[in-house]
Amino acid sequence: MQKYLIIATACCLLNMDAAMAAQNYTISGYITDRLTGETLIGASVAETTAKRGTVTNSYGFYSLTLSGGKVSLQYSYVGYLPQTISLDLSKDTVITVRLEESNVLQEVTITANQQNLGVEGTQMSAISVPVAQIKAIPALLGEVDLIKSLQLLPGVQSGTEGFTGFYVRGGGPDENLFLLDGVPLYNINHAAGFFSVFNADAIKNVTLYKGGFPARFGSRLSSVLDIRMNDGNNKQLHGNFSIGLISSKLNVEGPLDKAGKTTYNVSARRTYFDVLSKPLIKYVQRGNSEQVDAGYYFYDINAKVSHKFSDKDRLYLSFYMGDDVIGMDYSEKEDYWDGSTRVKSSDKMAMDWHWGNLLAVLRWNRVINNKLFMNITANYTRYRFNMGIGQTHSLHSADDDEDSDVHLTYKSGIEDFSSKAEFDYAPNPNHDVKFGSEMVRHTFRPGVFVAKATGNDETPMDTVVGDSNIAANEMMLFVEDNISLNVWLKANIGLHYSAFYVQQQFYHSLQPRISLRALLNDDWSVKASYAAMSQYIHLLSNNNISLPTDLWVPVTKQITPMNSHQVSLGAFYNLNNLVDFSVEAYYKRMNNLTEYKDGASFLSVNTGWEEKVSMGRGWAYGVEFLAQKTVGKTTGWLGYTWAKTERIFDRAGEELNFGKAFPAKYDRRHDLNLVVAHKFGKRIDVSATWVYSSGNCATLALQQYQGDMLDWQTGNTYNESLDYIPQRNNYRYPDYHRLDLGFNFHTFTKKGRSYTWNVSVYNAYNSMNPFFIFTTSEYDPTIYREHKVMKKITIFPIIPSISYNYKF
Amino acid sequence: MKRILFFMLLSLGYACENNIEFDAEETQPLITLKSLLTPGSKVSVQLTASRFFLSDDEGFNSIYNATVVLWKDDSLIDTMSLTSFYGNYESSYIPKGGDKLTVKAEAPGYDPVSCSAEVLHQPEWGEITSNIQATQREIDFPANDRWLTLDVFTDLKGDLIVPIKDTPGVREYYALQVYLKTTARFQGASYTLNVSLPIPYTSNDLVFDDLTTQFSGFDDDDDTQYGIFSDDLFDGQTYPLKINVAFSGVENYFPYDQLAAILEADETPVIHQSVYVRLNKLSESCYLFSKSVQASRATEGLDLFYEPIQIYSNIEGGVGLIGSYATTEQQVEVSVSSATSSSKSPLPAKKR
Repeated sequence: MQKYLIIATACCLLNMDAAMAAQNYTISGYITDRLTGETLIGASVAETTAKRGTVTNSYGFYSLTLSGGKVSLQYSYVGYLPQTISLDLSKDTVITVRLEESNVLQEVTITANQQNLGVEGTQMSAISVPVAQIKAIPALLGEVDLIKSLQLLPGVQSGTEGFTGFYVRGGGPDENLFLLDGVPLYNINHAAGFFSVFNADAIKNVTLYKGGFPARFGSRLSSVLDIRMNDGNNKQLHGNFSIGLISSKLNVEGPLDKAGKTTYNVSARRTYFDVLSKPLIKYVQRGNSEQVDAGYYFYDINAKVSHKFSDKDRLYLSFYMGDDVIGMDYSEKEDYWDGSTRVKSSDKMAMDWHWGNLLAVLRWNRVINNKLFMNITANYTRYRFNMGIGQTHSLHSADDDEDSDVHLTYKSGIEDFSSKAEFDYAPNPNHDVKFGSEMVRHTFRPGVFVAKATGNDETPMDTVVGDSNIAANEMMLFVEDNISLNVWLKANIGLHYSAFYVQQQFYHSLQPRISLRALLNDDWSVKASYAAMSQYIHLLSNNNISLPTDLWVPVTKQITPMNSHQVSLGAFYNLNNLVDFSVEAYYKRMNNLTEYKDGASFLSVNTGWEEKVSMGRGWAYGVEFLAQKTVGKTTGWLGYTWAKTERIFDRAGEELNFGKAFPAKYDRRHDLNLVVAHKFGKRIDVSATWVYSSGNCATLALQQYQGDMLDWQTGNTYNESLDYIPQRNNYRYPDYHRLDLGFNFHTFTKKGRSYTWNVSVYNAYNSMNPFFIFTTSEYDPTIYREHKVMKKITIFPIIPSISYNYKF
Repeated sequence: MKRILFFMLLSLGYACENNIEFDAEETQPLITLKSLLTPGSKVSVQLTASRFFLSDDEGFNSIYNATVVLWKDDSLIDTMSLTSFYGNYESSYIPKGGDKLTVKAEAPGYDPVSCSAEVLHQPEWGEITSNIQATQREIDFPANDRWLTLDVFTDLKGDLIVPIKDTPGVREYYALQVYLKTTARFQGASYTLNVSLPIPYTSNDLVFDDLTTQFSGFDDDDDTQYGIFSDDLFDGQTYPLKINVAFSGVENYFPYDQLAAILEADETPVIHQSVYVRLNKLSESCYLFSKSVQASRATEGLDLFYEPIQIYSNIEGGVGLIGSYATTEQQVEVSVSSATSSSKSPLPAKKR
């Protein structure tokens, strides 16, 4: 099968229609926003007569080769007024188009994006959500969160309420590739997953791929989230500042020179739990000999600088840094008399935990010629977790002198250096070829403890415990061709090859990808896709929440690469260029999955991580429905998913659930999401989100039984109650539902500035959804004794919030 | 300002916790069937009822109105008789190694249960090599007004090499135990006291492979007392399993009228000590059950970060275990040196 696909791909590349090329001319250029100069990703260019078209790539560049003569080009993008240019095409031409953002209050027809992800494109199982729409969705504590917005899409499940868990089509949390300007971020969470690291103010475009993966993507089994940062306004200085209940944000962008060739965009965000709590802590402790100073905050900074050397060359430098910081200082001083002896003692303890990502991307875009576009990047990304605890103690008196100093530090993380070369080649209207390669040097830091102790009563200690760093090399090659086979049939055929070398183990895989689109008429199409994926790294985590100790580890001799095969079939319909409907069915098989063994925990240190996990396989299937409206006064979507995903771990000695199939931890049968935003006028807009889903899975012992049967060991019996768990994940929490509301009140000034008050209500009808369920005993006064009860904890009842935003 | 901040934080904190009772559908009790088959001993089973996990009952109800039948291969060979109101049923059949037995039980109000098991043969092994040194440090007769004891303080140190002869092609499971047997012989009373004390041991052998195969014993100590392992690493071989014994202990012998009389006669007993190794061959069901019970105990109270443990059960229609074990024992020669000093506390008045 793979051999035939290689041959087919090569034929497509080589069998370019030379005769056609001789009469053709190429139109190329960029599509940008008229006011800001930002390049538009995925904008459409369509020749209306010949019905040929293309879309801009991730850098806003397009290339369209057409037959000579009179042509009429329509440029369009979601939320922008379309623009038509007619010309007599007699030579290769460069046209850079500046589209104007639409005022949705004007009733004009605005073309939805059909070329790329909609009815006309070959891509399926992918969705792009406009950032403006993400910002309009009501948010927990008023904190706009990209990941939580995407959790509302069909095929994406959220895991535990309030967290940024991301489970796509039955895949695990480590099977998602989060790309920020093309470079992976390894930890997307702040505050154990309550918030994600993506600051919406810094983001230009978000596309989520759940299946039908183009060959340019790899490295993860279940999804690719491609996030592109704003380049910066090249016309004038703009920005906004917002203040909310938990954080404040600042975004500034503008040109660095008069010609607008160099632009910048800087966004920063910081929470202030620590600032708010500090006076309260001091107030509570007034007069105490013990003093505790503790706090938690996170921050992130996104920055991007771009420079346009010429129409052909552009350079970008992207930067992201974000950290979570927990700090605590404890001190106690005492000065007292012990009989006739004066004693002075001092104890101090300091704790400092910080963890986060650092990412830097240097990108060079070059238009080699009007058919060939090059993108070269050099990247650095790292995630690190550092934990430090120190304790000093001193006690001095006439009889005694004690001094000790103990420090414990723990460090873990992952660091990548990588380089990538990508090319877009559009030789003729029937082919749009992308090819490239990437090299990654991973360094895994699996966790090292450093302990130091000094003191006059102790033996000095300076010890390092833990695994040494593991280096690994990953290489990827890809080629894909978006082929127009005829007017109604289009295909995207590609191959992705990846190789991984770690600790003298070499793994590689060839992953064919194919997507087909059959256009039934202008509004209807059906699509099918197949994608094979491989993954060489695992995230060790056995909890639904994201902990900073979650550890990325490479494949080993025993733990072999994960791989998946996914097929999808779907129908797509566009209603009057306003609403896109889609229905997709998928089936995915996953091999070499890992799960923690019964009773294993990342906390236990007596065994290596390989001994804690079992390998098995899984499958997921489901149907997704989506109706999305991205233009007009009223926007939003209705998404529904029916899904099932199971696992089986039946390798001898590694059995889970006694080798029988069981539902995956994130198996959920129904997910229904309704997102609506409406602009009542220039000054007021409202939004609402309603979520309904089946309950999460949990493992619960519903019976207990007598277990005194080990007499072969001791000759004795002991009466013990044992829990009977018939199956892993055998219990479902009650169904989940919630309504969120958001209201925005805008005030505009004559100088183009605006002020916005945002009022959000999370869980507006106060649905008591379970966050955690447990059993306990409590006293029942009606029967005068304790009895067992099952309880649920709801941590997100109705939560109103308010924030203020100033835009200039 | 401080008040405003205080109330802001208080309101946030209040919003984050809300306990509510939860209604769950009550699942029906299942028959718990327990039986351990060993060659040469009558087949016996115990039937109790499981209880809903929210039940306030403290014990488990015995099932004494069940019909319990024993099948061998495809033939019904016995209807088992109730022998106690604790739900114990017994057959007169004494199984041999290799017997394939099935137990079926029915009781009103419960789903019927059944399970099959093969009775194991005795394990085979060679002669154990030992370099254990035993030192008796002190023999004491502590007494108070409640009881009288004889304590023998003994240090044991050394290695044992246990050659296990494994059957090829069959996955087999073992449990190894070490005992210190002490005999106190009183000439005048013609009375001999025998006590066996489980001795903890350690091992670096890879057969004790992961966190669940070394048993921690039942006395809440962390020493290995019962190593459970499979033959994955030595299938079909005669495997020299090496264990290390490092034990320093005291044995308490509890009051016996005869012992008190002997002590009153001021007779010093003759103490003889020897080490025994017991090798148990376990059925897979016993092995899996033991592993899962041990893992469950090890993670009690740590639910948040540990995967829940499924206790192994092989009872169709119910819960519990039918397993098999076969035991063989070998005495190990121990070099005993004595640094003994005897002491006797004043005797208390005898309690009647």
